[in-house]
Amino acid sequence: MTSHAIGHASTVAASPRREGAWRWRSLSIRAKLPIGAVLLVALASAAVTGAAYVRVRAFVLGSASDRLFRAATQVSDILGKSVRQRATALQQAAHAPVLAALSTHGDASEVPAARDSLVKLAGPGAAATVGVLALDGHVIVASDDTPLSLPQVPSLQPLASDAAAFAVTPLVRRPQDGRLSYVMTVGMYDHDRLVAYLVEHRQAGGGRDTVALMTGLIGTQAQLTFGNARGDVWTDFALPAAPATSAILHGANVTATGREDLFARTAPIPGTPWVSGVGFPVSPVMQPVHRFLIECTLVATGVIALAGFAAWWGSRRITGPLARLTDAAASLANGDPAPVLALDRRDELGRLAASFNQMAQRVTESRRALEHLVNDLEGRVTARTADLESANRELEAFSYSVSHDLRAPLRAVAGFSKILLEDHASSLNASGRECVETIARRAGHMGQLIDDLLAFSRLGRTTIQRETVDMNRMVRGIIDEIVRANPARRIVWDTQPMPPAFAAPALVQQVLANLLQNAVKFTRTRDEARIGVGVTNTDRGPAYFVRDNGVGFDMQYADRLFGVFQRLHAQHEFEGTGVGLAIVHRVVDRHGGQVWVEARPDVGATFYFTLPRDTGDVG
Amino acid sequence: MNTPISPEMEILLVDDDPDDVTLALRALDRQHLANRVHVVHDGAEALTYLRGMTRPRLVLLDLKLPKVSGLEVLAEVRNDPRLKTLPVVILTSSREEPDVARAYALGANSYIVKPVDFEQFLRAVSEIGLYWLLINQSPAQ
Repeated sequence: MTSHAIGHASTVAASPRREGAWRWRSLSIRAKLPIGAVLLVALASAAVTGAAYVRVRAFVLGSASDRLFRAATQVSDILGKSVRQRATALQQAAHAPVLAALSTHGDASEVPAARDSLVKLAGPGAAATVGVLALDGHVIVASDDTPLSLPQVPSLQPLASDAAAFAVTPLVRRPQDGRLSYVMTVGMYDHDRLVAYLVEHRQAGGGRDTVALMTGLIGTQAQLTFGNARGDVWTDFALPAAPATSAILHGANVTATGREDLFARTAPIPGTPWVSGVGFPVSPVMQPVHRFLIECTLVATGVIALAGFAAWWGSRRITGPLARLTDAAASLANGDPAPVLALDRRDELGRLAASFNQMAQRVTESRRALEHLVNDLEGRVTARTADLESANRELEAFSYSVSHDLRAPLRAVAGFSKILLEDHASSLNASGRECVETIARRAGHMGQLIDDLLAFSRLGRTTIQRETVDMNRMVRGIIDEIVRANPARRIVWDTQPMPPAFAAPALVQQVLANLLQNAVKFTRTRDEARIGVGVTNTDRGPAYFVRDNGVGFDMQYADRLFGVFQRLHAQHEFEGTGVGLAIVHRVVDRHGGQVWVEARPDVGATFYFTLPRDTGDVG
Repeated sequence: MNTPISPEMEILLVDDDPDDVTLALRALDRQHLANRVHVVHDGAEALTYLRGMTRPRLVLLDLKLPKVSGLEVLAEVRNDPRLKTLPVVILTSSREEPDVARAYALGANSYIVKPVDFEQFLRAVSEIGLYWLLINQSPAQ
């Protein structure tokens, strides 16, 4: 019980997986092969395309980055040179006599001339303010009234010992107009001694010219910027730019500037705390990569389609013959002659077809042989059946003749004996009368014998129509008849309730009547006959029985008892034809039951018989 | 039992066995019916007699007869509009079930097996005669 339950559970658990496998397995090879090939080629194509894409992309990114870096370096060089030129211009101006005198002697009379010189130096417009500042930082003279201040001390230190040195500050945002500016400082010397500073406060960015120059250098799509190396201020040479580009300073290759993705590289501008940055939109750079990817995908799709078609064609070459083979095998299995498979190929399929043809031929041959044999057998069975039927008809005709023709003379013998006794009694003496009576009696006996024999013979030929038989009622009826026919007898009946039988009622009636009449007959010598009827459990199962306290018999003759004309008593002791028990035996046998007897001389006999009680068709 | 004796034959006995005829007549004699019996010995004779002017009140018909069998006679009788209501009792030696079934199927009124025992035979035949001629009410001609 437990193992059964476990087995059931595991079956249930396994079924979904099996179902999935079943779907793939139930696909035909014609479908499986192309699907497999397409999947395989698709996988390979995807792998190759993916790897190539990664390589190409890395290469494109790398070369773009290199080019940007070179461009940024060039821009930085140009800007650095420009800064140095300006510093050189300032240093030359510092040596100019007017300014040198002012810085050395602090002669106030020189101031107007010095201012004129400084205004000239600052150039037209308001792009710059130039001034001379004393070492302590106070303005000695300036090109206009814009406040000037010295940058921090560390950046000025090189100026004390190096006349070629200059100092440039990081870019700062001017509060008044938001423009970026820086301060450049050069030293003013009197015989190599630093006496004052020449300071220029200049607006950053070279203006449109510079931008146009640069753009011409690296292309219109490039974005050119520069700003402080520390990243706080940033400009596109004209206006302050978005600080987001500061990410570029920290090594990012690609940055988002709001509108589109950019590649960008930076390079430090020599002599300044600034860097220049060159950005380039990602999409034009990546366009060849994307085009490569699309081309690869198109090629891969073509290859996949080709592989699928090739696999389909190949599998058709294989499954076509297989399908024909299957059809042929099916028609062979149905019993039709299999068509001969014509396969013009020498490969495995060709050999398979050849083997199949051989097999089909043999099967067809053996089937023909079998059919022949069956026909022969059927013919023989038909002939034998006809023989049997004719024998049966002869037997019927014979028993009909016996029935009709044997009884007529017997009736005449018996009848005329009686007439002799009735009409001519006076002509006969006592001995003669006795002879005639014997003739009449024995003729009657023979009539009875013939009737019994015919009944027995009929039993072997009639078909058994079973129905439920009320054994109790049947026994009561038979006993009533016996009691009426034997009014002088003293019989004690012991009938127990019996279950119904499933049998032919008329035949069971005959069995019970024969057994009960036998019991009555063989208890004739008893003062009080005891006859019992019922059901008892035996080693052959529950059995009906009829028991008497009659003369019984020696059990060594028991096996003869059920044979036709077999008698254990002389006719003068107990009359009988010897057919009754043979009829009992045949009826029980034809019902698939058993009959047997237990007896002891002078004590009595018990007859047992079984009858099937279910509806199972036995016998 | 004194019954009025009508001049015409009231029983037709059809039997080819003269001994059986003798025994049957002896049986009917006990009921004083023997002189009202006409005996024929085969089926053809029986049909000729039945198609003639006299119509018996009862036919005792054996089955195994020369020329025309008892069952054929019975079939002819039942097919004849004039005779089809005629009481026909089969009186034969055959106990075979097919004979009994066919006889009743063809419209026999009774089927009696001739007993071998003479006393039983006497009783059977005389009772048939009594029943069909005196007790039973036959349809008007």
